Amino acid sequence: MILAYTLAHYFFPRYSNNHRAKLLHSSTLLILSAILIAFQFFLQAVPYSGIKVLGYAANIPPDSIIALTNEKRSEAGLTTLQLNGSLSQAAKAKGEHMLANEYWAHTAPDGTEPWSFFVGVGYKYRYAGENLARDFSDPNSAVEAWMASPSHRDNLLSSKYKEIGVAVVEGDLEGVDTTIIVQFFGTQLTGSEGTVPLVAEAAKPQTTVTPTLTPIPTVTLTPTPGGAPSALTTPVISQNPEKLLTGEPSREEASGLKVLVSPFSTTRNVSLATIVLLLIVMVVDGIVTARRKTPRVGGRVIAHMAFLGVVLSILLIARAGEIL
Amino acid sequence: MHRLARHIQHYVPLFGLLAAGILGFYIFSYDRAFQAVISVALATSYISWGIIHHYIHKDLNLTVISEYVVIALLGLIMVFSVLFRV
Repeated sequence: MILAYTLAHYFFPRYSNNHRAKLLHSSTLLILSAILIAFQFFLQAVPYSGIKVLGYAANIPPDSIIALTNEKRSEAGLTTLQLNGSLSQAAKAKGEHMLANEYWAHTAPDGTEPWSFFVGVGYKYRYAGENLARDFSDPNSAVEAWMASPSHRDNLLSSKYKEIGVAVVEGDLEGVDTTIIVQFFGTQLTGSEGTVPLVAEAAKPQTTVTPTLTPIPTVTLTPTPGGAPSALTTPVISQNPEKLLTGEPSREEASGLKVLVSPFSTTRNVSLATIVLLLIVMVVDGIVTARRKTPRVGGRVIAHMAFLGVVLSILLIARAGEIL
Repeated sequence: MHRLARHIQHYVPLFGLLAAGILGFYIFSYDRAFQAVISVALATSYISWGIIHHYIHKDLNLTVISEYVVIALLGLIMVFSVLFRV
C-alpha cells in the first residue's frame, strides 16, 4: 500500500504532489542531477580501489585498420599503402610507451616525439605521420572517426605516404582497461634523396620537424641491427613483428580476469534509462493534466520533452572512442 | 497538443534550434570540445526560449525559470558525462 502510494506520488499527478508527478518537481530533478554526478565520481573512483571491473572490450585486428585505410585511399583515387613491419613495430612501441608512461598524446610528458619510434626501429623517413585512437569497439568506427576529422583525414589521405604500420595495444591507462590504436605512416628516405628534408606530421596539432639530414636525436631509443629498440622504457618488445598483427589477448584475459563493465556504456545506459523514465512520466503528466484541465504554474511540458528528446538523440549518437 | 498548435510560431524556433544542435553534434563528432560548446549553447537556448515564451504569455516567474534551468542542467550533466567518459 505504501509502495503504491509512493509510486503514485512520484510518477502520477495527484493531490499529494500538487497535481504534478513528484519526479518532475525542480527539487527532485536537482536531486537526480546530484545522483548522476555522484555516480560519475563513483565510476571514476572504482579503478583506484583496485577493483578491475571497468574497461573497453574491443576486437580490432590491425589488418582491418590497414584494409579500411587503403579502401578510403582507393576511393579518393590514391595509391594504397604497403604494410611495413618496422612501422608496425614502431607503432607498437609507441602504444606501449603511452601505457607505461600513462599518457594519451602525440608527445610524451618526457618530450619523446612520435618520430623517435620511427628512428628507434631503424626506419629512416622522408615523411612520417601518426594517427591515434582509443576505446573504439571496432575498426570501422575508428577509421570513420579519423575520416570525420580534417587533420586526421589529411594524414590518412596524404599522397606523401607510401607505407603504413598499425598496432593495437591493450592495457591499463589511468586505471581503465584501454585499447589504443596507433597508426604510423611513412615514406622511406632513399639514398638518392640525401638532400631532401625530413617532414613529420602528427594528426593534431600538425608538426613540422626542422629539416635535418640526421635522424632525430633520441635519448630513449637506440636502434639496433635487429631493428628493435633496445632502450625502450616499455617491457620487452616482441621479437616477431608479425605477432602484433594477430590480436593478442589482453593481460586481464591472459590472467583469467574478465572485463565486466564498460564505463562509457554504463554511463550512457544509466542516462538513457533516466531520460526514458522522465519522458514517460512527462507524457502521462501531460495527458492527465490536459484531461483534467488542471490549471498549473510551470514550464511547457512539450518544450521539456523536446529538449530531453534532443539529449536522448545525443546520447544515442555518442560513440565510445577518442582520436588524437 | 492543442497548445502546440496554438503556439506553433513559438515552437518552430525551439524545434529549429534543437534540430540544429543535434546536427552540429553529429557533424563535429570528432571534436569533443566543440560538441561540449554545442551542448552548452543548446541548453542556454532552451532556457532563453522558456523565459521569452513565458514573458510573452505574461506568466514568467521564478518557479518557471528554475524549472527550465534544472532540466537544462540535468541534460547537460548527462551529455557531459558521456562526452568525457573515458
